[in-house]
This record gives sequence, structure tokens and C-alpha cells, in this order.
Amino acid sequence: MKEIRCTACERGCLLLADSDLYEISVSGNGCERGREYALAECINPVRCATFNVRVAGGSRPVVSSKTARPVAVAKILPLSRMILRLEVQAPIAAGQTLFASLLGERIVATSSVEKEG
Amino acid sequence: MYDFLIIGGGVIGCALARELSRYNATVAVAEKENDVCALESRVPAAICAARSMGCGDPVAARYAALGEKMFRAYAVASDIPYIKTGCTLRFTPERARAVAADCGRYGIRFESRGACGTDGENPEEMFFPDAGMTDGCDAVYALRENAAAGGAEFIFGFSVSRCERSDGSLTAVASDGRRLTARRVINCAGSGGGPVARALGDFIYLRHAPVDMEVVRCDKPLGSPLFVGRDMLLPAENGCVAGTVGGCIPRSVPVAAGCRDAAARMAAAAGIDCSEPRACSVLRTFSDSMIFRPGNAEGVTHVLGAGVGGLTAAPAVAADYVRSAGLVRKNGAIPAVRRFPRIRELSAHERNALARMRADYAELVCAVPPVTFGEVREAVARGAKDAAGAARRLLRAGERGGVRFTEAVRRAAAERRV
Amino acid sequence: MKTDVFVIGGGAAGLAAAAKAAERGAHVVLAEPFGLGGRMLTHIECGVGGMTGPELAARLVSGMRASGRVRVLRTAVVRVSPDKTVETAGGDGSFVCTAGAVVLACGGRDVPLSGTGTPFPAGIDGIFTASEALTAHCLFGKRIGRRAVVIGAGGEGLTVARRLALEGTTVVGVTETASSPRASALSVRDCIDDLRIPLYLSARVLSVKGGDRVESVRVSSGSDEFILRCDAVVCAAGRLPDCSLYPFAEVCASGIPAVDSAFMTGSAGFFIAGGALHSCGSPGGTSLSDGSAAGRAAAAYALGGERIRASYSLTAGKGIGYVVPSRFAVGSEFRAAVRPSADIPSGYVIMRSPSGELLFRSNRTALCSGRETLICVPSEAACGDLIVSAEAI
Repeated sequence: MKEIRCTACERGCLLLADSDLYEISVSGNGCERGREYALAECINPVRCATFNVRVAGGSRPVVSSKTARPVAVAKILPLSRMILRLEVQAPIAAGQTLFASLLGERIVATSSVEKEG
Repeated sequence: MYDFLIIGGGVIGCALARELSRYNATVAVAEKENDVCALESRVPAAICAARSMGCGDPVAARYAALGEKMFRAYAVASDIPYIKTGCTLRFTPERARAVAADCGRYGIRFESRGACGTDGENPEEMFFPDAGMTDGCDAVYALRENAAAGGAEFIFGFSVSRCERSDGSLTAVASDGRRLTARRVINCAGSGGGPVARALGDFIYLRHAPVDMEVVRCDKPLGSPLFVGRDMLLPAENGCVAGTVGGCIPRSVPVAAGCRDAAARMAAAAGIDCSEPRACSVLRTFSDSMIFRPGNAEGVTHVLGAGVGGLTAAPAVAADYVRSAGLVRKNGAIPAVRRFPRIRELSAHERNALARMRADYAELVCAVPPVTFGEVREAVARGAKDAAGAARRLLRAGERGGVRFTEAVRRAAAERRV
Repeated sequence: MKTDVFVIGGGAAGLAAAAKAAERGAHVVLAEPFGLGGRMLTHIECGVGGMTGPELAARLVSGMRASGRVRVLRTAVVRVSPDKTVETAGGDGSFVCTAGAVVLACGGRDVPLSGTGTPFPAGIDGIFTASEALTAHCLFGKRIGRRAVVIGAGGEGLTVARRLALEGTTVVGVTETASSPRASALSVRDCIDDLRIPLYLSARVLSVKGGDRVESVRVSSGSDEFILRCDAVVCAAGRLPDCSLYPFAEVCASGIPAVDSAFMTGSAGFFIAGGALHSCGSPGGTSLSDGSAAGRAAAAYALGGERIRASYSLTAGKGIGYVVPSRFAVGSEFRAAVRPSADIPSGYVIMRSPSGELLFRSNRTALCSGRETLICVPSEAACGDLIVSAEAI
């Protein structure tokens, strides 16, 4: 039994997803999109996570970044803990890959940082 | 060993230090907070002798009257911002009569504007054309810088716990063990004056009494500060009102937020719940009347209880003390320390010239109000120890510096240490 | 210096206004003291169209620069006079610029903790507003504390909570005085459900205690009272529109400046858009479209001296906190932003004439008192004074 807030549209129905061995039944959805959303959330909830990565030698101390594709929710906190310990070198262009594979995910910069000075 | 030890780095303490630093004497000021005016509200302060009139306190009235007359020249000499705006007060009819009598006795001009009925009461309005307005914090900082330039030493974090006598001198001992010895000691520790007096061997009873803060509405723009009884309203640039200690939190917006802030902070400092702004009291420590007299021990003087009119009375108190001490003026002129420029007060042309001379006066650290890194550097150089201290010197009541401001203060402080 | 349109503020609304005005052929000067993009730079979450704030900002800036008629000044505006003279200070220099039209897009001001009425000791360290916390993390790379309490569960509060949690600060709890979070379901999912941050609803903060630094927060929720120990408090209690730079704007009873559907104030040639006018949602949403409309109107005014057409008024009625704009031109359709004063899970926004005749009813929507709802009013309804109200089904 899982309670999910639907984000397909602004109504935000509270969905109830019940799964037994063979199928997932969804209730409380106002429309079909809600049902699909609930199914996706039950099977593999994914988000596009964003982080601030520390920069060495740049005009700004951090650069904003995001995961290149939506990642499983369970990976978000471990990813953030790893990123807190890492550092990248300036200069950085928006869209540049900062880390090719961190827990299997590619982290991409979303803004640019010039070299210091 | 110092010639003079001033306990308390408030308005009276800094004014005395500035005066004494012009004479051949070594001066030390001991202050328990880490900066002068640590709890100051940053709203404009009025220099108006009439606030101390009519309450049966001849000492306060006399010094306030003298101080108001001296203030203009004093402000020019110490580079304190000051404008003569006149001041409007509203009193209850009995107090108005007492005020009128006192003003006649001490030579303060006033015009009686008659009764102005508001909400059932019938206060009398009086206008005092010789009063003026200044910035309380700026004034004390200017006095401190002038005192320091004249050779006075400021010792912070010094909380006097007891005193020792030896022949001809007194030693003040702090709660952390530091010692300061001086021939003469002046106690102007304000709300902390009672315990300090006891340490010096005197008993001075300072009464604690609540002063009500009223919520008063003022709709039309005022040309001069407006008082309601003991409480005070001041005009801000666009005609709305500000409040001050023992003052009013206006119901009208804008600017109200800043003063509500200031009043709320002062109430909170006194441990009073300010969530209901109408029914709010602030504990003020004051004696029944102002005290300016020698203590029991030789060489000790107490100056306490100047109260709300402290800044007005300060020049007169300092001048009187110095006269009675019989000192010799220092040779040569002592240059007054100029107030450092504030971007928000200059014209565009002046700002550009300043930016050409010093590049850090072009680097903005706060947009509203405009504050530059150069000003932050100056504030830190002149004694701001943390972001709050820099904010007191550079911002007004209710204005927040924001994260950039705090980071800039940290950067300036780090530069100084290196 | 002279220009056609002067845009104050380089946030979402300002950039959009400058781009649109330049597109319409006006010479534009944009004054922004810090980074171009405003709050978009600190809102690094994936938002509209999968773009994060900084990416959206970069796109707006390049769009604005492409027109070639916008001059960007890195400076702060200190004064705006009624004769459309703008004075700036700092940064690139202090200029005095005369403009044909002025657009104020300087953004709103966060409500500080002292504005919420919660008592706290004077001079205490560790109390931040939401944008201060976000600026500290995203622009300065500094944390605000080790354990934080966030007051207010609107979109901003939850965004801050999420940022804090992902950057190593323990979020002890998010408190909210309403009985449900005022943010969109997306934010709640991202911030509360995923990261399992404790959310206290119907919770009022009674007091904040501490010595030099915040030490604890006392919260009362229903009949219990509990203490959350923390060393930082983030106050995300909303944002107030702030047009203090232009104090001559007439302000309605609700505190919102009075503008018409082209975002022009009562004084001809002054336009207010974006966060400076009303509380927009996450950066890059309503403020973008506000800014575009204001920029277009400002260019039209500056280049062609558009005459002010007769305006009817739009007032807030039952169930509505405020409505923007407060005036509109007869016979043209316009978009109104309506802020309900209470939560209505399923209701209509209704516009009636002063005599009670029903002129327009919106589609069924969820009305939330923490957010504005956008309504497109067709030209048939825009034929006289209107009173807006919200009604449940």
C-alpha cells in the first residue's frame, strides 16, 4: 500500500497504489495520467537531481549541476554525499560533464564558471 | 596606570572619552560588550531638550538644555551627522504646563500649538524650533573614533566585578581577571550602573519600570519629529514614521517594518514577548532622577540616569566634568576624524570620483541600500568586529545586509588579520 | 545618458522585459547589480521544461543579447524620480539616465522572521531568510549550519529544505501553519517524500531561543508543544512585493501596487512587473510573462507615446486576497493573477459586475491560499468594472 501524490497536473490527487504479486492496482486517481504516474512511481521512481559542486580555482566557489538523466530516488542522497567530497577544476562550461560515472550516473554542469582572476 | 578610567562605552562614556582625550591625560574606556552601542536600534535620534523637561528632574533638564545648545558646534567638530529640524511634542495638559515652566527656566524656545484631540485624550502639542535630529549610532561611533584618535584606549569585553583601592588609585577587576588601574574613575555604565556603583563602594538604587510602547498611527508626512508623551515618533524620508526606544511602533507602512524590528529587538533584549505589538512594554532602567555626583570613594564620579535624552545631554556632561577636573589642554591641534563616505548619501558625481580614487568603492556588496566593499572595509578598520557591527555602521533600522554583506565583512576582517 | 526603456533589475521579469522591448525596436538599458538571472541562479532545481534555473537564465540572457539593442549595466539603482530619471550607484559607475519608460523588475523582499511576529532574542546569529540560505549555498558554497529548521512549507520553503538536505545540513523539520503544505505536489514529492524530511503541519512557531546563536525552536502543533534543537532557522514565510525604489506608486489595500493589464502604474510610463508587483511562484514562471508584457507595453509607450485608454477596475471580493492587475482596458482580453484568501480544493473564480451580474466563470480549479491562480479573462467579459470572488463547487 503506497500513498503517492500525483504530479501529472496541478490537481495533485492522492493516489493509493496497492500491489500484490501479479498486478498493481491504483485508486484515487482523477484521470488516466495519474494511473500511469502511480505505476511509474511504484516500479521505479526517478527524479532529475541537482547539486552544487565545489570548484577549485574559479571565479565562483560552486557550480550548479544536474544528473544527465532522471535517476532512481534511492540514489539521490548517496550521490549528494559523494559530491560533497569531490571538487572540479575551473574553467567549466555549461553542459560540460563534471563526472562521467558517479554511481553509474553522469553529472553535467548547468552553469559556467571562469578561471579566477 | 591611566589618569581616567571610564566604565561604560555608551553615549556618555564616549563623549567623556572624546573630551578628555583633548587634554593631557591618559584615558581608558572599559565596555562589557564587544563594541560600543551594541544594542542600539539604528533609528534616527532626536536632540531635543524638552523630552527631559517637566518631569521634576532639574539635573537632567539642565544638562539637556545646555547640550541642545552646544550640539550643533559639537557635531561639526566631531563630524557627527546632524540637522536642525525642530521637534513637535505632544504632552498631557499637566505635563505641558510643567514643560512650559521648565523651558522658561532653562531658556528653551517653544511654540504652543494648542490641543489636538485624538481618541478621547486631549494632548497638547508644542513645537521646539531649536531641536534637531541625528543618527544615534553614527554619533557614538564618531565620538569613539575621535576619542581613539586623541589617544583614548577602548577595552572591550571588560565587565567590572570588583574594585580595589590603593593609595591614590583605584583598580577595576573584571570577571575574567583583567585589571585596569586609574587615578580617577567615572561610572557611566547605564543600565549596568548599579552593580558597578556597588563595586566602587556606593549604593545607587536604579529603578526598573516599564515604559509602555504605544501603537500610534500617523498618516500625513511630518516635517519634524513628533512626540507623544514620553514616546517618540520620527519622520522618515517619505513621510511615514519610525520609532525608537520607549517609542512607538507605527501601524502605517512602509518603513514600519524597520521600526517594528528595532522596537521588537529592544523588547526581546529585555526579555519581553513582543508578539502582540499593541500591548508591549519595555523595561527601562533609570534612577528617579539623573545622577551626576562624586561617589563616596575619592576620585569616583557617577553619571547615570540620563535616560532617553542621553545623547542630548552628553556634550554638556562632558564639558562640565572636564571643567571640574582642572586639566591642561594638549598642545597642537587634534585633527577630527572624518566620517567615512557612505555611497547612499553622495551624489552621482561624487560617487564616480570616489570610485576612481578607490576601486573598492565601486564593488557593490548590497543593492538595497547600496553599500560598497570600500565602506565595509572602512567599517571593519574602524572597529566593526562582526557582521552585526558592520550593519550598525552602514545600514539603518530594519535593513538587512544579506549574505553578500556578511561574506564581505568576513573578507574584510580576514584581510585585516593578515 | 538617454534611453527609450530603462529596466531595473535583471531577474526573470527584467530579462524578459528587456528582450521584448528590444525586439519592438526600443533602446534598452538594464541595470542589475549582481548576476543576470536573479533568483533563477539560486533555484538550481529542474523546473519548467526540464531546465534548471541557471540554464533558463543563460537562455534568456543570450536571447536578450541577440537583439543587440540592450545595454547591460552592472550597477544598483538608488533613485527613480517621477520625471523618469534613474540614478544608479556602484559597479560600472554612477549614471543619471533619462528614459522614455521605466520598468521596475527589482523583485520582492522575503518576509524576515521579525515580520512573522515570532519573538526571538536581539542580535542572535543563525536566522536566515529563504533566499539568503539559497544564496549562501548556490553562490558562495557555504552551509548555513549543521541542523536547520525551516519555517513555512511553501514552494520556497521546500526548495530550501531540499537544498539544505542535499548539501549536508540536517533538516530537523519544516513547520507550516496551514493544515496542508502550500506548495505544489511536485515540490512536496521532491522535498518531503523523497528525502524524508519531517513536516509539521498546523504548527506554529512560538519562539526561537538561543544565546549568541540559535539553539532551539519551540513549536506548538494542535495541543502539543515540542522543541526542535537546531543551529539555524530559515524563515520561508513568503515574499512581499517591494517597490520601495519607486515610492510614488499607489498601493492597494492589500499592499500590491495598482497596475493595469499592461503593467503600467497610475503614473504614465512607469511599469512594474514580476516579484516587485506580486508574489510569483518559482522563478521563471509568472514573472517571465509579466516581464514580456511589461516590456512590450513599455516599448510601445516610449516609442509611440501610447495614450492611456479608459480603464475599468478589478477588485477583490469574497474569498480573494488580492488580484493583479487592478485595472484593465475595456474590450481586450487580459490575464489576471488571483490570490485566494483560503484553500478551496475545487472551486471557480467568478467575475461579476458591481450589480451582481455574472460575467465570467473560470474552469474548475484547485485554489490554494499560498499560490496565485492565473485566469484568462476574455474580451466579452471585460466590459465594465469587475469584482472577483472565489466560490467552492
